[in-house]
Amino acid sequence: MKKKDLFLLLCIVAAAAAIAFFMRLVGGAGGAEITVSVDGEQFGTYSLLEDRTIDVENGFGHNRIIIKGGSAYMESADCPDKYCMTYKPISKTNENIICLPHRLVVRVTGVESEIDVITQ
Amino acid sequence: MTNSKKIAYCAMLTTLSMIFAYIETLIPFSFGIPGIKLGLANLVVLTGLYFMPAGWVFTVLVLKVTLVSFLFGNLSMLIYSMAGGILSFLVMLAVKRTKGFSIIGVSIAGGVSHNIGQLAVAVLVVESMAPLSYMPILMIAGAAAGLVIGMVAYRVRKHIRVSGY
Repeated sequence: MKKKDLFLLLCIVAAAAAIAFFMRLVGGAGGAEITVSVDGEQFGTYSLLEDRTIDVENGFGHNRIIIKGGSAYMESADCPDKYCMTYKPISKTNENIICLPHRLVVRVTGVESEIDVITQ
Repeated sequence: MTNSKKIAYCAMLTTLSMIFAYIETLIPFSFGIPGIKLGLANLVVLTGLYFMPAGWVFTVLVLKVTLVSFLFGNLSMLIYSMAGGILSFLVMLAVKRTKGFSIIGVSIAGGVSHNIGQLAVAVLVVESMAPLSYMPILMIAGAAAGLVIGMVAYRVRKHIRVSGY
């Protein structure tokens, strides 16, 4: 392993850390609602405050999203890999659940920023 | 090198990388995030870059990705693997031609760019920036896999002499 190899490795780790830090800065606050989109088109927006079940049926397949106790998770999906069901429940802004085969993205939106609360 | 020798080399390396890809499907390890894997088959592409013309290696890569995707996966796997494979091939070639990097550095750059290529396809598929939140973890995973494969490739190059080339 040469010096430049090590330098490259450090650069990649530093870049990854910087991106992670930046994303934490942008997101992180408790979100108010989730936005479900399919193939880039918005499917619907649902408040995280009330528990409910959302069934998404599209040309690609079926997904069932559950909102419970302020966070959302994928309960079932008929996609082949089922990766979306392994995601942890999401509740913070910009956290997301993605079901690639069904082109479905569930994203926490509606920032309840602390700053907003203070200025009010 | 004669044409038939070229065909034999490419066929043999394509087969080898397919076997590696198959072995990898047998290892049941998952981190809950699609895209994190060792990339054993990249060993073939990586070492190939050091003893064959880049064009041949590219042929092996395209054949391997196409055959493996249809054997063990599906059409969407083909798109992801092809994007990751081609981007990582181009990046590895560029890094290799840059002075001061060993095969390990080339491999690390390849691992990271492979994951970035796949992530780019994911962004296009869902038409959302949401997959980008996996950028940091996939960069680290790619670098780690690249490091391991690079170290193996370093030893392979030391011990295996390619005759006729």
